[in-house]
Amino acid sequence: MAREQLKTLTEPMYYILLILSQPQHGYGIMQEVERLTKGRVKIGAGTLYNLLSRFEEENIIIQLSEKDRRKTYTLTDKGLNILKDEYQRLKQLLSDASGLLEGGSE
Amino acid sequence: MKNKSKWVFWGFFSLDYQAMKIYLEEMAEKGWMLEKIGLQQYLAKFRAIEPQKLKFYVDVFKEGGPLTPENTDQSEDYRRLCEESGWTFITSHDYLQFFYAQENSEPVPIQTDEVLEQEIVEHTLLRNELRGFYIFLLIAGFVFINNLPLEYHILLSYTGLVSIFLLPLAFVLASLIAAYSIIRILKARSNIKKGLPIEKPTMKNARSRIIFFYGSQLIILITLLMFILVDAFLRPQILVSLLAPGIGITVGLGLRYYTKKKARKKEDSVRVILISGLVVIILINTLFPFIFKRVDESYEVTSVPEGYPIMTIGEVTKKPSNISLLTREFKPGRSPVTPIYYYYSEYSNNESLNISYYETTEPKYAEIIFKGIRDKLEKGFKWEGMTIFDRTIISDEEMKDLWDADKLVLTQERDVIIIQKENIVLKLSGSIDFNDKQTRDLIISRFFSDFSVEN
Repeated sequence: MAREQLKTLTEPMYYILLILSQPQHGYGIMQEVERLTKGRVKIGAGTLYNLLSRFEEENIIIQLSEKDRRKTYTLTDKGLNILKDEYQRLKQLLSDASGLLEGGSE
Repeated sequence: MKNKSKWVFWGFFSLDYQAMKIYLEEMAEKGWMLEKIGLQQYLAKFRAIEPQKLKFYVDVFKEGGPLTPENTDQSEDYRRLCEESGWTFITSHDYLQFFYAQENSEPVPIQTDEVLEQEIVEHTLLRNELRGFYIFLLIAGFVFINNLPLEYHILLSYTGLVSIFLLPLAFVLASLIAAYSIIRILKARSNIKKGLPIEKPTMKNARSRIIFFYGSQLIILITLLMFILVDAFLRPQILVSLLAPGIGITVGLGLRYYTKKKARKKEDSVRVILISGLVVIILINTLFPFIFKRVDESYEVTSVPEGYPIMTIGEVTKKPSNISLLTREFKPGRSPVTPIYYYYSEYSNNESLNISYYETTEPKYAEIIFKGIRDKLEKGFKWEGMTIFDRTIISDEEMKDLWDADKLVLTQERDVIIIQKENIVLKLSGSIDFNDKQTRDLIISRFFSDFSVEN
């Protein structure tokens, strides 16, 4: 189930991986996602915890350090590839749409 | 502020965790804040606070569970994350984690992905609740099948008679609840597929479930206990049968306390549970034979109460009545359909006498008992894969007429006789010559005198 879902990332998954292209701790991820999306996407603590443990299990992210019981994570190579693939897919979606929707004036 | 606390009945189904939020909000408005949930899920402790509006969140933590300690590294990481996002942790119970926040604060809900949440609920709560029901169904089914066809023993005690109705009832109730949980989860799954929100249970629904489930459970338990006490009134020794569940519950509660409060890792609690299981098995194997021996000894009597027709070795062997007895045992019992029954035995150095006497309200019950005793004697006992003490049963028409019995069978060796006459069943064995006329007359007049008078 988890693997199937990762073929296409959900929005929260995408943003978590995006933020983790730089090392970040749990609460930092929640704040950064909210800041980056200007409050449009909010990730609950439980959802984040579950996703982080799933990503870690599947070797998509890795724990870098632990300070004051605060764990810092970053993407693995596998995670970076998944994120890049998703980015390419989204770009493709946009370009596919732009030909039809933005060229409507011709 | 009032400095007091109170325990209230909790009893929520874990699948109703969404309804718990509403309940906790209501309690806070009345001035009570949840402190902890104890004694399985039966009771919750609340402490007094200033009545206020608070927000509550009950979340399902997938790394919790009945075997997992309350505080593990994982649960602390998770709670810290929740606290950082604005929720204050209150307590936890198995998978469920309880948080609150001030009314005017706007913390992000702990779960923001319904699909993920549903997946976790299925893997934790549903599996956990169903596991309990499956184990119950398995045991109940085993007990039920094991007792089919119904043994004549159930006619002999209040507990036996009442369990004819209670066992199937408990079985049906547990099946209903299991089916209901599955339906709820399937509905939630289909809602998600259709893009609809998961149906949130209302307090009213959750309450009805609590009343239905625990109410029926309580009624079954109280009824059973009441009838055990009624049976124990005549024969207090049967209270020993409560020892096994008593030990089970005590050890269970002790283990739960250790698992939740003392252990730090799930592996530790699993190890302790396995070791405790072994200790209990060893304890039962050494303690129970000792207890049962003591209980058996307690049936020894010097005299038999009035109203129970008995015979003595002296009478049947026609030897002096001052024959020196080693033991005399007397076990009486009673049930609504068998108002009088007892086992009586006498042993001397060379002789023995065993009487089982049953007086029922209707001859049809006597017939069931007669057949039951006959079959049991024929089948013997199963012991370590072998059948022992199985006997060949014969009938003797001539003897039946002589004894003026409705039914009569003997063992091939003619050392055990079972007689039924109308509502009375009698099983005799030991140093008795069943062909002797004088003995026969004595037995008939002693045990079946009512009929002789009528005739």
